[in-house]
Amino acid sequence: MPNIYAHTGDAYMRVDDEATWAGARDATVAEIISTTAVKYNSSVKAAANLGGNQYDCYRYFAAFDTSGITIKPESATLKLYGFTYTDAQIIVIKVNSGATGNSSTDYVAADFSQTSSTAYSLEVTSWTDEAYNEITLNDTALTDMASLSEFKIAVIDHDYDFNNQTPPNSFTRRTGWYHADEVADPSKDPLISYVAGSEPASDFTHSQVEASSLVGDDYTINSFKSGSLGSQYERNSDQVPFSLGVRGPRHLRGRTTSYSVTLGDKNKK
Amino acid sequence: MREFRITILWQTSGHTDVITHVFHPDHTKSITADEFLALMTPCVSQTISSCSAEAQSYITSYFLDESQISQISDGLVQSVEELNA
Repeated sequence: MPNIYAHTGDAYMRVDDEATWAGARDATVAEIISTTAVKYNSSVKAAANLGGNQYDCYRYFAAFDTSGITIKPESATLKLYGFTYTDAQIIVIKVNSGATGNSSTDYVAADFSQTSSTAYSLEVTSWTDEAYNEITLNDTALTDMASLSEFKIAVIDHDYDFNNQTPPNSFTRRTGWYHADEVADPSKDPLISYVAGSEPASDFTHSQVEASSLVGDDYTINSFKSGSLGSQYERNSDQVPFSLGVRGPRHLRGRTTSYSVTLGDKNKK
Repeated sequence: MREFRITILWQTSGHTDVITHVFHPDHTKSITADEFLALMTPCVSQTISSCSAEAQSYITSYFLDESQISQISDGLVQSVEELNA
């Protein structure tokens, strides 16, 4: 299966200690961003303190170059190599095309608010430390992989961030993984592995497509070669394809000779 | 809005982390951008563990994860600079 690795400008973004959950989740700009982390044990986090007056919201952003994918893949999985925290109740979502980050440009703090409500996966509820975790991408993601040259994703908390519910007091949920980095060894980097799609089957057979140019609008057969016309046109050239059953055209010119043809019989009278 | 770039060199691995800290009117922070700069500037060219207790607390609370916090004696603060100043 082909793999596409995340651009090294992937990022964790943090908003900490906001007085309300909305203040953290709906911040227009992240407080902290880093695109250089090799790994981060809180790539995604939703948290509230004991008093319910300090909230944290962390998100992970990545971009993939899908310019080479022109046909919708049959399937695709996002693979993230787990690191430390495995609380996982996360989801992959679409990042708006207006985000600065892409497959050649690092994400910036203002991209924190470029998340969409479009899910690219189901909720992920299990996570493994120090191994690749595979997240199946949904049909919307597969379609976007084919139609977009820049496939931008965010991974966020499902229950509180995606569903926009305030975390209960004294609550912390974190999930961590390795991020893309400049080190040549990509063995733990985020990637998308996909099964390439195939060309959709045409409604027309080869012969019928070709026949459209060979048969005129007035049903004139412009040319004939075996195998290129649809079966409704093809006949053995030695076989007369019809029976007149009446006097032939020579009769119209004043002759009395009758003319009859028997289907499938090479002996003409 | 004011932005600061903090560069930390992890001496053992040779990896450099670049962290951007944004002070935006939407954010609730216990210190101002000027206070942050005053707090962090003395850390430059020192390991995180050599910074003041208050600076260490700020760095570990907002910039690092637990795996990095356990190695703050390895993390050298190379620079703290304001962007677009």
